[in-house]
Amino acid sequence: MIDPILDFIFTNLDPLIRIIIYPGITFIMLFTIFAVWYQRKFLARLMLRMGPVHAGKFAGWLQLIADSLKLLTKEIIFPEHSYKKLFLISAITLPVIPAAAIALVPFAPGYAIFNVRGYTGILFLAIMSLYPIFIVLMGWASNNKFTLIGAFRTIYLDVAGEIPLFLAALGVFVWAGTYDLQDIVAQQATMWFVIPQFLGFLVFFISYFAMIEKAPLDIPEAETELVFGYRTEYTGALFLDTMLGDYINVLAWGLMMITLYFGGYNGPAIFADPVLNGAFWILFKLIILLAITYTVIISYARLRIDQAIRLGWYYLIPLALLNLIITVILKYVVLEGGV
Amino acid sequence: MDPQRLSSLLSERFGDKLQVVRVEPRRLYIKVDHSIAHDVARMLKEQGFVMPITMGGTDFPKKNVIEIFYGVWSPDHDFVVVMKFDIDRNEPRFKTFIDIWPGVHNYERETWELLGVDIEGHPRLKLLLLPDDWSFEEEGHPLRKDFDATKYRSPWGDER
Amino acid sequence: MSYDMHRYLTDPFQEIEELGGGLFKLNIGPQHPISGQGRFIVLTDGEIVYDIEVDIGYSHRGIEKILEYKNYIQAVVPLERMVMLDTSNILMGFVRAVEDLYGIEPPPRAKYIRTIINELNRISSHLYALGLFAESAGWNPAVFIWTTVDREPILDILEMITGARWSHSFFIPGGVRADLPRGVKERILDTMDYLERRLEVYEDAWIYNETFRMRTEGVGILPRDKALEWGAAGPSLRASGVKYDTRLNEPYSAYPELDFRIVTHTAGDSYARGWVRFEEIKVSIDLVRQAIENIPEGPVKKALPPRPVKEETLARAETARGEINFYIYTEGRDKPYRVKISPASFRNFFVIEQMPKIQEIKLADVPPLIYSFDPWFLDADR
Repeated sequence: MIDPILDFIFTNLDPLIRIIIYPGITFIMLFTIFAVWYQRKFLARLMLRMGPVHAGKFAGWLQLIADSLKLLTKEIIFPEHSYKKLFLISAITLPVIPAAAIALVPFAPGYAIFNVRGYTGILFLAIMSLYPIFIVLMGWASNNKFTLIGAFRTIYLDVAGEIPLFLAALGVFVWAGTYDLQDIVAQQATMWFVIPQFLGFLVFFISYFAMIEKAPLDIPEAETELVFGYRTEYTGALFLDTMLGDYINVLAWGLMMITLYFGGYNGPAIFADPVLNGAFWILFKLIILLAITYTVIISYARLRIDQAIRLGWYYLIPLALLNLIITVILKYVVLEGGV
Repeated sequence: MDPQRLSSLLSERFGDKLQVVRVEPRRLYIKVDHSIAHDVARMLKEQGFVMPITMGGTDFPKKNVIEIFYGVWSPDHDFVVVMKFDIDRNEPRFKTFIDIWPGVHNYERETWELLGVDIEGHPRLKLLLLPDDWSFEEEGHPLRKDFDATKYRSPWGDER
Repeated sequence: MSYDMHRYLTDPFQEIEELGGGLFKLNIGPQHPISGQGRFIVLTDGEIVYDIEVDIGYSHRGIEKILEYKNYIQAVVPLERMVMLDTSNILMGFVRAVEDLYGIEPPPRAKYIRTIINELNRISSHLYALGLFAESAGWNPAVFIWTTVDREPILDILEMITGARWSHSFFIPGGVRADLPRGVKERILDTMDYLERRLEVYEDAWIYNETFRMRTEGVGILPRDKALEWGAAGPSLRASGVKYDTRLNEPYSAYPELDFRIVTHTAGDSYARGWVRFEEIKVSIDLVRQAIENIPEGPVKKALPPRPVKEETLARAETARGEINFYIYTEGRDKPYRVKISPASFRNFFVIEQMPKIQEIKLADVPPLIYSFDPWFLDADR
């Protein structure tokens, strides 16, 4: 009796399930909650601290819920002479952008929220490049000196970080011979692209810190001089919203890195169901990637903006171009013998 | 050079307008006339006393003077000269020493606000330690001896 | 307004009064992640800093005036409130001044106990300062929390000796309040071993970390002549190549009997100041070991004579932030007539103010520049 109903649901309501449950809103939200807890505990261990312990029976896992409830009950303050509509809209839109980009990432063979084929890799990068624009709008609408400087810095950092990142991704596209993310993941069943594209991966990994705005490239936020960068003036629920955008941004770029370089959902079959298996491997790789990210965050001092720009233009962009040239030569001359 | 030698050098140059108060192994206390204070300072700087380490004033209502002192240290000779001079308490003013020892900038600001000494030629005489709404007319200068600090007791009482 | 850097070189005390051309004033503090109990008014056009004004006085308690109402023993307690991290070193200057006024010398055992407590305080203060310095260079609070954790055993020792983690009011004119408790020697030696192991970790993790050096090297170079002229104090002065340390130049306590060196650096930049502080921790560890090994037996305090024998004195001592000196004028009574305290932070704040006028400073350089001087507002405010 149950099976026909389930069959009916899975055949007819499949897109809805993808959007609402997995890998859609519920997954993203649950992952954010997990990522916050994981970050707090992981960083705390590296700092010889305990991290949250009180809320929740196990290792303070309810701490974020408690924090969120507190923030939701707080007043939303609009700064004087701020552009109120933009102040509100840009903060609300911020988490939507990386979430929209996640819709293109395959979580199992032929399983993505927005299951299209073709130029999805380019589309992903195009959507993600909107994210800094909203940060700039937030900083500008707040009418505060600190947020304004944070917004300026976002533009500078974006130019220095996004271009090498896109060039590195282009190396993968050339190597795979396609822009399609599902094809790219499928091709990595035998060998992860991090091996032929190692140089590109290095560029991608460094630029990744500029894109997620975490130390050592958390220059727009720069707590020590800019208080909280572009989100200094946000309070209560809106602050929560900007933080949500931050974590979803990390998730989106992490998924992209796994998709491009670490074989996406590919992995030894543990579960019979390909969706479950894909989910397991993606989460497994994400957790390891986050651990590496947090270790880097804690190990380095923040660069100055001019040093970050020099890093981007003097080292990362030439490296990414070199990677592109090597890729072209390897693929079209060495492997296929002639252009 | 040791303090003894410097004191004789200074006495030779400035005569009875300069009075050597006390000579210790690493200190030389001199008292000079207000009129030659800058000349003495310049000579001390020529002798290598470039680093100001303290500066302030003492209020003497009975003698009706305010005694200003400057402490300077020399990296070459490694001892401190404390130069003191009196100014009139009714008309407390003297010319700044910033052009000789730039480091006394904030000390002179502090002396201006806490002791009520007008320092001529100082580029930035504005409140440093006192609150921004402090009024010299109503509350006075805290380090003057006629300033009563006991009226600023805590509202919870002095005794616990 | 067209900005001209050379305008400052001719007159370092000139202030920019009129704003224009995209310049604005940034209030860093008194409520800001890095500021502390004071304010830095930074004139900037977004990234390049043209002027820093340090606004101190938010915690002015009038200690100089309070001391005029207290006798020399009572004065110990308000004085300690200047720097809670470094209470005993602050007090050392005052105690020296009073002993000079009364013309007495503390007993030798008291001298050694003072040395031990002073050096433990110095280590604790330097660890705190270095943690803040790393954080100001954009580190996650990791380093700051490591150093905070490593200060704990030192505070435990201080609690064991004096009964308080800080503000222990342990030094009095004429000696110290009590003798060392039993078993403290082993504990101190253990802690020093532990600290040395931790310092090796610090060296690997952040003192010689490439990004840390990128951020702090070449930032806020203070030349030797300017350091002397503007009156920089302590590690800031030694990082500019001036070989001066009150502990050696004007020996007090047990320092003349112990063997140590003055750490200097010639670069004069923010990194050099941090490095000098770091190396001084090693020197202090060595000093504590020597002092606890060679401590003589005997009484630990001496009574003061009824009246001071001198009229005035200027006593100096080396705190963690640099030299502190006390000018005390007395009328021959048991109360000071006038106390002038000249703390190290007061002098260093003036140097910070002058830095943008001799060198280009970026906004991101402001926190490491400030924290390389290890400022302490309560110290400067008195």
